[in-house]
Amino acid sequence: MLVAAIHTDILLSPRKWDHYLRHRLYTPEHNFVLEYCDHNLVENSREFIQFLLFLAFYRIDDCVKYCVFNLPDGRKSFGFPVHITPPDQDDYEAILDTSKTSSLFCIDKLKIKVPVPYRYARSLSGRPFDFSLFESDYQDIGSHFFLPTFDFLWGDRLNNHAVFVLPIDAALDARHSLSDAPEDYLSEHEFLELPDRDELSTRAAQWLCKWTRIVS
Amino acid sequence: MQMDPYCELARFYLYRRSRYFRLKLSDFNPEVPGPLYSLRIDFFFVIRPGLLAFSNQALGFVDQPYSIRISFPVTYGDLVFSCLTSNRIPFRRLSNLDEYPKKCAWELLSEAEPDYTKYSSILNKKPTTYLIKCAISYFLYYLYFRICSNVGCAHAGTDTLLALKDISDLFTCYAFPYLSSERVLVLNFVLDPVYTTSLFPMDYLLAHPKYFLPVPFSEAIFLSKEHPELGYCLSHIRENFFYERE
Repeated sequence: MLVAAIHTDILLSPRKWDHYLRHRLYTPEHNFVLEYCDHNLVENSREFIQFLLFLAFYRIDDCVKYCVFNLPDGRKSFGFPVHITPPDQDDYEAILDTSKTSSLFCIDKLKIKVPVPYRYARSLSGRPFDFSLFESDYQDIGSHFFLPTFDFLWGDRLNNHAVFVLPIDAALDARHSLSDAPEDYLSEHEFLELPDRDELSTRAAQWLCKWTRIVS
Repeated sequence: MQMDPYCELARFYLYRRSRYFRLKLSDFNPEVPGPLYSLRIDFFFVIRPGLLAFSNQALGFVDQPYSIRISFPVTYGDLVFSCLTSNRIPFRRLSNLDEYPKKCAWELLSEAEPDYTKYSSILNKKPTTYLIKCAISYFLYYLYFRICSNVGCAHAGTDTLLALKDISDLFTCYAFPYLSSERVLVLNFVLDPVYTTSLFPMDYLLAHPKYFLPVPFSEAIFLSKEHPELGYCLSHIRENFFYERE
């Protein structure tokens, strides 16, 4: 599988980033084109940073709450991660349609395929999700993915994933694959109280809680 | 409150319904009891081309050879005294600085015996955000003078004190919050390379090599596996402090 990645040096150095931008291949449709690498090669590499979208599906009840996934191995997830893959790849995870605005990304449309372990997840209350096609399209996602800024670094062994936490309104789920039961949704604080949390989900939930905005 | 509670970690209630955090006081009984959270302020010092690490000889209160992140759990006393002193930290008892963390910072820095009768009202009346803002400058002052004291150099002059005041005034620009899994409200406070250099000039760092260690950005990225908060900070450090100026 090919995934979007960038040389670590380029992402970390604004000077190299600017140079990289100036020398990117421009197309009539896009102002910036991502580069893709073989996932097996870059997964254990310090030379490359992969871009990873962490999709967290929210609804607003008395406050913002996120859909929680009960994974087959017993862990609880706050959403799921997807690599950014080329548009013409069969085993894609996330395909971005980006707008032509300056040199940065702003997602217009997002097409995702639910990663394998999450297809068999159940909701917090134990109901299966209806990921019948394992695919979803989202329009008007907004500007959450905004290179070169990422939300945090993460990785199983190396910190070689630049993670963008992308909160998505669960109401955009046109196929109704997500649960609509309020008890299947938790706030960041409630999720962080659960046992057996997925590590990446924990980081995402910690990051989403901007508590300085909510102190009296 | 009696004296002992002022040495306790400040605790915050979470109102589950509104998701607001509010400082827990002895005379405060929430309608909906929820989990309690403590508060921690972490400092990072950005230099070119990365972060400045401090040896334990410089800090004197950490259990590892070098630290990029310097953490201060916040007590009720710290909130009261930082609020009282604001940007006028007296530092009249500098000889006691190395007693931290056996003693709370507020015990070391207070210039007079505290009048406890009026402190509950301060915690009651001042907004929590204001108390936290004051605590940032308070701990930054403490940290800076502690390092100067351990390194053995003369303490800062007027210019440095003005720089410290400047930094504190700008705190909202470079502070990144997150919530740890251990029910700690963490505020990462990141100092711009300009301010880091004004507090710790390059010739000062070079003159005291066993106390300071510059860590290149490319290495810090891998340290962040052990220090998740670095993972949160690095993107913002990069964006705020390097992008326009490199």
